[in-house]
Amino acid sequence: MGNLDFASLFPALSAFTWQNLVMIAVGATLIYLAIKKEYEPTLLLPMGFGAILVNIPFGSALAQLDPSGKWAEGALSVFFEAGIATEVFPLLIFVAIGAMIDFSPLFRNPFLLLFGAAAQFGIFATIALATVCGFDLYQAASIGIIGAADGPTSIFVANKFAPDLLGPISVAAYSYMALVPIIQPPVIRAITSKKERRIKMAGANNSKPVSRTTMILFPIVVTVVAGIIAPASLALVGFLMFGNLIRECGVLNKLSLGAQNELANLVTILLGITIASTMTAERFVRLDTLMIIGLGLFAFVFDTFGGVMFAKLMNVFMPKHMKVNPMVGACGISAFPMSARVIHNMGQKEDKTNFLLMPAISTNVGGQIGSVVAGGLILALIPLFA
Amino acid sequence: MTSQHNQTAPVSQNVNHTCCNHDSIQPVDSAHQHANQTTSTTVETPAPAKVKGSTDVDHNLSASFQVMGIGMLGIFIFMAIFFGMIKLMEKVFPHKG
Repeated sequence: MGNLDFASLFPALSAFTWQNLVMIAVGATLIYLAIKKEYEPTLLLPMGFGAILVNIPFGSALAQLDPSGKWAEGALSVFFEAGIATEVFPLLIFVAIGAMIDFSPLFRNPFLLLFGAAAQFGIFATIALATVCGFDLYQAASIGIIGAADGPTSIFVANKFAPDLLGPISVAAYSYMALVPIIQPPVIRAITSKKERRIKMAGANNSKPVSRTTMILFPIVVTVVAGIIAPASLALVGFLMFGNLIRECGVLNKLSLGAQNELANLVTILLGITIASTMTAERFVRLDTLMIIGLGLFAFVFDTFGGVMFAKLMNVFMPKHMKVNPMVGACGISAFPMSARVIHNMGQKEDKTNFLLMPAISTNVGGQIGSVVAGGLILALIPLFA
Repeated sequence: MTSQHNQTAPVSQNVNHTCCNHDSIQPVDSAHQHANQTTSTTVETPAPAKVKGSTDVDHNLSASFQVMGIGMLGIFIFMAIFFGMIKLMEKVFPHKG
């Protein structure tokens, strides 16, 4: 009985560090943002709760004593091994996203695909800045990919190149995706004139029908082309396009709905809480984390900058009736459909008769393809230069 | 690049337990633990393996600019190919109706 002191009675309580408390506060903040502000609640809520779960000392979520007295992996570690380390969870999410995407707006305005390329500029600008901040090229690429504005792509690349940074990168990616309505408008206003923001894109508002054969062939052809040109991108592009094929084939409606709903929901729950297993105090409460959060914001700002500036550049060469509203270029980031909605609303604020939703959606879909292609190219290029 | 496939669970819990009764999950006797701190074993499930790149900032910066150039060009080429494919498919398989 003499040995029974506070620490032995309450080992978790006595082992708490200020870093654990910071992380529990971070978890609570994520839960608050998810519930109160509705910032990407499907991901931020599980991540927030998971952050609390893994920062209680001696908790059994990550590791636990088995009856023989040996330490064994806890449930979250098992999920991590099975779902993140093997990349299964992000790829399953890609199937679900593919089943949700309707590429037909893109077929009506295929030239808007180019904005989906230009708006990936922030990724590469951030990689350069991250190297200046002292990150190695693998880490810098993982941070830069936050600018893809595409959570699964960020997770996929970070898991390959810098798994130790997976937690902060995921938090930054999903947080900034939710903050697109706050981040993009001031950047766009700063680099466009009122006259440019009022440009109407009448030609882009067409609703011409697309043949079913084309819609079915597109995911197959994209997969083959991407696989041949950049094999490293094949998993990313292929799973996305597989989901889309399920949607478009017309004979797997139940599977399509299952991918869009049950699969997406189930994997999202597991993905969120499993990523949180990397949010332990010793790995998260570091200067690196703050730098990653800052660099993520930089990536989003320069994505927007890249898209808008490319539209302005195109306008130099376009005839007057074909001019592009430069704000639409900002939709080239992948945050779908948030970014398109933001741009449509900004257009309406400038001129009530200006309807930018269709071209904005087309560009946004192009951005989804662009972000996945960017992820694949980074996976292929970085090992060659590091 | 090979190390990425060897990553393990993101667990990093230091637990002093060498001298304790393992028959059941019990709070560790702190006095006992302190007395044996120097000899205790750290049970640490390894953190995910880090893919290590060069830490030379100049090299990394110059490499990042090369990646930027090739990467942006690559994305535009991809998109241009997809653009061509869409146009071609629209011609070959026009909407009937």
